[in-house]
Order: sequence, then structure tokens, then C-alpha cells
Amino acid sequence: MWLWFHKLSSPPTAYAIAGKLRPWFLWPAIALFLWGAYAALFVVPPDYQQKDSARIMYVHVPASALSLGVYMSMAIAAAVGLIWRIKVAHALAASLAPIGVALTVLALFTGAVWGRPMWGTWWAWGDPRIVFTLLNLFLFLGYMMLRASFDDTQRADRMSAVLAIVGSVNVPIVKYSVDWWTSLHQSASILKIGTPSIDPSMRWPLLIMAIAYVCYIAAVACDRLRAEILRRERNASWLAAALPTK
Amino acid sequence: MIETYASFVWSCYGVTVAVWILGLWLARRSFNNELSAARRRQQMSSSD
Repeated sequence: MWLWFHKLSSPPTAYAIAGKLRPWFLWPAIALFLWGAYAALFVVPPDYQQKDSARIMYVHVPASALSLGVYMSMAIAAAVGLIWRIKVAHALAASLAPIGVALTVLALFTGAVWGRPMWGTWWAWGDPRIVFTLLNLFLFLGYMMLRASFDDTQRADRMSAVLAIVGSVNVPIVKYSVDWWTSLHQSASILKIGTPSIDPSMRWPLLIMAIAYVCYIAAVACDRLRAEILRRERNASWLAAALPTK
Repeated sequence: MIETYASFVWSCYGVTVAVWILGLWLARRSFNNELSAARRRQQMSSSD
């Protein structure tokens, strides 16, 4: 296992694997998104209370949940890079940050648009989940800005990794804020102990959309990781063999 | 068919599609830029 881990952490192997995996994530992401969106918009019955506005949840919930997932992945990659001094792990963490920004912005936007007709407001400072999700966006942006502020890549890796690890404290806060404090958000209805409280007719399109988002994140991460490896390994001898000729 | 809150629903799906496309395009552009820079460096070093 360690041999496999060591091999995967070499830039030429990671570069090649990311290039091969990208289409295997991208096309399923597009197909599943189209399928999931069609089901969410036209197949799923309207909610008895929220009516058609509940259809927003099919893009909002995966974006919100996976923005946290991306943050945790970024923090774990940064920790692996920091502890074992693996450059590819730092490159992966750097690749995930812009994806996290996009997902968090999407989560906040779709949440605000859903909140206007349902809660009567676009934004509620009193809701801990909204506020800590905004903090998550600032953590992603802070991570990217901190990286950009250093000319030395190794120093940028170390400093930004510390921020990513410290910031990961915010992830369980966002997740459990609905249980710990009074919140406009409902408590967990899918990932909870016991049977999910969401009706099966509404659950399967949500699952399809969640898988579509995961595939999309992986496809974008493959491109970003390859770009990051190329930037870091600009003087490496293996690049000559790895670069396709025009 | 969507009968209630249509503008809210469609705007969310529209923005989601836009963010997906933008994310893919930016990532691809970043990779292509690095690839052409690496190729340029390679050509320069081989011509030296």
C-alpha cells in the first residue's frame, strides 16, 4: 500500500493518472446532471408545502454538502503534504480551492434564492449555517490569497496548509450548527441515523445530482491538478517525455 | 410542469449551469496555458 501511495505521489504518475481519469469523470458528470436536472424539474412531484421551490434543493443541497467535502479533502491533502512533504498533495490542495469557492458561492446563491419565497428573506445573519458557510467561502479565498502572496512555492505550501488545517474546524460547525443552535435550516433528513425522512420519489434525483457533482469536482480537479503540476515541475526532466508534441 | 416560483427555480438552475461551465472552462484554460508555457520552454531549451 505504501508503495502504491509513494508511486501515486510522484508528479509524473499523478499527472498521467489525472489526464487519463478526466474524461471518465467529465462525461458521467454531464450525463448524470442532465438526467438529475430533468428528473428534479419535471418528474419529481412538487412539495406539499414548498411547492415547486423545493426543486431548488436538487442543486442547492449537493453544492452545500460538497463544498464542505471539498474543504475537508483540501485540508487532508494539505495535511498529507505538510506531514510527509508530498508536493503532489499540496498541488491537489491548491487545485481544490477554486472548486470549493465555486461550490460555496453556488450554495449561498441558490440558498438565498430559495430563502426569499420560503423564509421571506434573501439572507439571515441570525442563521448559524448561513454565516458559517460564508466563513467557509472566506477560508477558501483566504487559502488562495495566502498561496498567491508567496513567491516561494514551498513556503506557500506550508503556510496555506496550516490555514487549511486550522480552518477545517469550521466544517463540523457548519454540519452540526442546525443541531447545536436555533436555525432557520432544518436538521439532517438524509444523512442521519435511522431511515431518511425524505420520500424515495424525491431522494433518487438528489442522489443522482450528488453523484453528478462528485464527478464534476473530480473532472475539474484533474485539469487543475495537471496545470498545478506543470507549473511546479517546469524544469523537471520527465516533462519532455510527458508533453505531447503538437 | 413548474407552476409556482418558476423564476426562482429557473434562475438557480441557470446559475448552476453557468458556474459548472465557467469552472470547467477556467480549469481547462489554466491547464492549456501551463501546457503551452511548458512546450515553449522545451523548445527554447532544445534550440540552445
